[in-house]
Amino acid sequence: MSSAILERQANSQGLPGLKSFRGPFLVLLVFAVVIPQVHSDYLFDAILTPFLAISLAALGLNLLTGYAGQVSLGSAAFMAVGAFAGYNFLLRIPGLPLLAGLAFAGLTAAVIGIVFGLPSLRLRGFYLAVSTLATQFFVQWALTNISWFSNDDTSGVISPPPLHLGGFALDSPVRRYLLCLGVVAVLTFLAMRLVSGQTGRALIAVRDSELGARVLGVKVLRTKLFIFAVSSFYIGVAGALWSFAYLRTIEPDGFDLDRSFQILFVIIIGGLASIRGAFLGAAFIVVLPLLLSRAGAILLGPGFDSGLVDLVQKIFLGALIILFLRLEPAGLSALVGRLRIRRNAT
Amino acid sequence: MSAWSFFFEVLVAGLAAGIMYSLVAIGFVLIYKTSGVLNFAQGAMLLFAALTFVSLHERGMPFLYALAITFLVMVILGIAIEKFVLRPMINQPPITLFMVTLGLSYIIEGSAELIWGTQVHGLDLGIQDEPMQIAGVLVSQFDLFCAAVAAVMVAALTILFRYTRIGLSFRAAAEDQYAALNIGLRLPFIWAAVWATAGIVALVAGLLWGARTGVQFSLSLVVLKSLPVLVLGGFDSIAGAIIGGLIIGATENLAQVYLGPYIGDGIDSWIAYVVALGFLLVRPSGLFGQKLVERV
Amino acid sequence: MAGAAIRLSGVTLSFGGILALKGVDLDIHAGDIHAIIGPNGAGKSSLVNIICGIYRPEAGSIDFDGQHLSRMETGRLAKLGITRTFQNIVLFKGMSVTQNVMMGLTHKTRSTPWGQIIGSARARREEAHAYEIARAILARLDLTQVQDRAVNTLSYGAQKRVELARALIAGPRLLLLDEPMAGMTAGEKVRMIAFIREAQAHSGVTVILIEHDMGVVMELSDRITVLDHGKRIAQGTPSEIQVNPDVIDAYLGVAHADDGDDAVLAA
Repeated sequence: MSSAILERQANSQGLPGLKSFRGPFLVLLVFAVVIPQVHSDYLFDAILTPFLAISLAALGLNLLTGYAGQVSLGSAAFMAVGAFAGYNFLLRIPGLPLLAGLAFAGLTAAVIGIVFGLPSLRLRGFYLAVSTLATQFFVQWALTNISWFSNDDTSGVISPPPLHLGGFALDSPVRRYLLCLGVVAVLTFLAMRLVSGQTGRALIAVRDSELGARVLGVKVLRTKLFIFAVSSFYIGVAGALWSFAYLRTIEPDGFDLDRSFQILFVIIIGGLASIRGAFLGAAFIVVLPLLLSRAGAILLGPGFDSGLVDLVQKIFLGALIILFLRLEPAGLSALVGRLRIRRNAT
Repeated sequence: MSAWSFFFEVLVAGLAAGIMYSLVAIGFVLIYKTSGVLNFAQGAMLLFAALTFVSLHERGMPFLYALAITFLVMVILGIAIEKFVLRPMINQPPITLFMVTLGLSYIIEGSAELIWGTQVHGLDLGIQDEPMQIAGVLVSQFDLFCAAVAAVMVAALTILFRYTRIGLSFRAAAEDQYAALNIGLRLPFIWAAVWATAGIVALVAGLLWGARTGVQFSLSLVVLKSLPVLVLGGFDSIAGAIIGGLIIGATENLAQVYLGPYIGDGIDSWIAYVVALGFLLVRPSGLFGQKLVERV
Repeated sequence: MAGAAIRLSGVTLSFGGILALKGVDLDIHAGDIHAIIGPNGAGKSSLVNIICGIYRPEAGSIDFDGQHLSRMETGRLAKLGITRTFQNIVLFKGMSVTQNVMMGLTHKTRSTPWGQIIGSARARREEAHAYEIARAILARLDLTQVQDRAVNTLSYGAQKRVELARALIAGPRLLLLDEPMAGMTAGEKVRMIAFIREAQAHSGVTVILIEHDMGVVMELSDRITVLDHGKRIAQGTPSEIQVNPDVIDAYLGVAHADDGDDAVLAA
């Protein structure tokens, strides 16, 4: 094996090293300039906007689970916190700019993340994973049962305020998509910078050997809480985008355990400890049901049972998780990386 | 009714619910003890067993035949999971194996519903469920039956572990896998046997849960109820699973009745986790779990 | 930076009622290469883990470089200038060789995460500096060829050297080497001895060496402490230790006849 491949492997497990940001920038350019020329509300509303929100949540989880090795089964709870916090800030502080609302949503999630990250200081592995379930169930319960969070709305389904950016109304699918794209791009850039420096190395060190990290002077507890906060910030903002730009309703029900699993599956399929992996995995998860229902329609005729497709999708997803963990633990990201090396070699 | 006898009734109902959690938790303990895998798919296996049994029975198969066939199916399923899914992943970190079983639970749940359909089935095991008066406290007969089944199962497992050759091998494998290999125990065989046993435990728990709540998709969610039990009792102790279950069941019910009016409905979704977590922070390896000493 | 002296007095440690160390005194002079030897289970690793703050001694005290401490704290080791290698290699497998070695400078990092994200002058300076001296130390340990590889793709002996590089990069004052030669080929051992010697001569660091290979111990050490059953049974120069009757008893006595690889004292 050439050392280029080995280096790529090392990087695929975590660190982009000193690589340039040219590739990601070109991708961003395509998404920001070329794709908005397409005239299809469906593309933006049903595919790209949820894709971006899921990507951002997965990116947040990947910082925590992929890089720092702290497995969380409570991502959806932090999405819910972000969504409801964003809603409440925009509702209760008249004239608060949308971006500030999103930032507050993320910060609220970060605070909650630190609180629920405290057990990680004593617990590891399964015990931590189980304790994150407490977050999941408690947050969902609190948002359902404490009516202040939903502004005492009894219907259980509340709508976000109209979205404005400056004087610019975000009232079309493309505009909402562009909002998501902008937020996701900035946060992704920051995450790439974060993991490529000393802090990123410290995260991986904590993951790979807590003792080794501690002996070298990594402040393990502080590092864990820090990444819980950052991860929750990202996931919280993702939840706000999901509710505001994609669903355009805010309800606790959508942020259930299945959503948490979904985000976890995104990073397993996309690649643990990989920024790119979060996007590849999210694309896969968003597109998979669409492909399966198309395939169902073709194979079984138009009258097929959509419940059947759900079940098949479930089985398919479960099988993929197992296959990826077994055959390609570094996920789609590693597959793509290898393709690129092969192409460069020829 | 006096406040005390009401309290006891709530307590007893809670303990009974706790036994139901323990039944599920025991399946986890079996596998964790011998192979270090936290099998999230235990709930899905339970659903699969109950759904298979009830569907066969509804299609006209006599009770015992249906039971025997489901028994076989669960043994085969357990062995197949071990052989085709987990064995190839030996030496992977435990948390990876946990995520594998997460995938597995999706496959099993999806398949169960794909094969048998998604409707809700009633399941009648022919057990009277009339409350009995014991020492002034009303107790459900069905709960007593469940407790008896749990007791029999724990006794059977204890005998299996303590007094049989294969049980000795289980324990050896649990103590030290390398040593077990060195003295010529066939670990793959042991693991297969454990998974088959876990399949049977899932069947028993599935039938009891199914009889109580109806056989439907939500059965697989009982796994979420048994996780705090495991955290409390330790992942590797059957006694811990029972006692953890009783504590969780009782606290949950008491909290719901006495705290519920003040803080809101549905706190049973998280109260067990809070109890388990609070406990964990004091004693990180559970009530009966082995303390892990980090070797340097 | 010159090496530091460390002295342990009356250190006692037990696990579940079994005494691992019984009132052990250890006196290590600044700038020495000091070996701790003894049969398996003699308490060598326990001693190292006490110095590293991984175990807390039940009695006794530690004097490090004039500071009197009842116990060490793992998190403060690096700041005190104590680094170590591990008996079972502890490297971060998700990183390249260079990145692993750069981790050795963790405690000197002053830039904040935010500074690193926005690329503050300090963060960039630190990163460039860490990279540069990591490369330099890798060159000194003959690891330049593999410096960009994923660390877990290296041979066992090379991984041991990466650990050494990581322990050396910050210029420690006390270096703990827990079986640095274990599992190495004869050729690798010769090189490792040279690297340790060179590092010691280069910076004057104090070295505590735990090693089973008596040839290596006798060749490298300035002084040797011998432990048996959690007690110190001898301390002295290699030539004194070689003729000490208690030591010969401990190694060749009936009780330890099964410790095959330790019985090479005469080598």
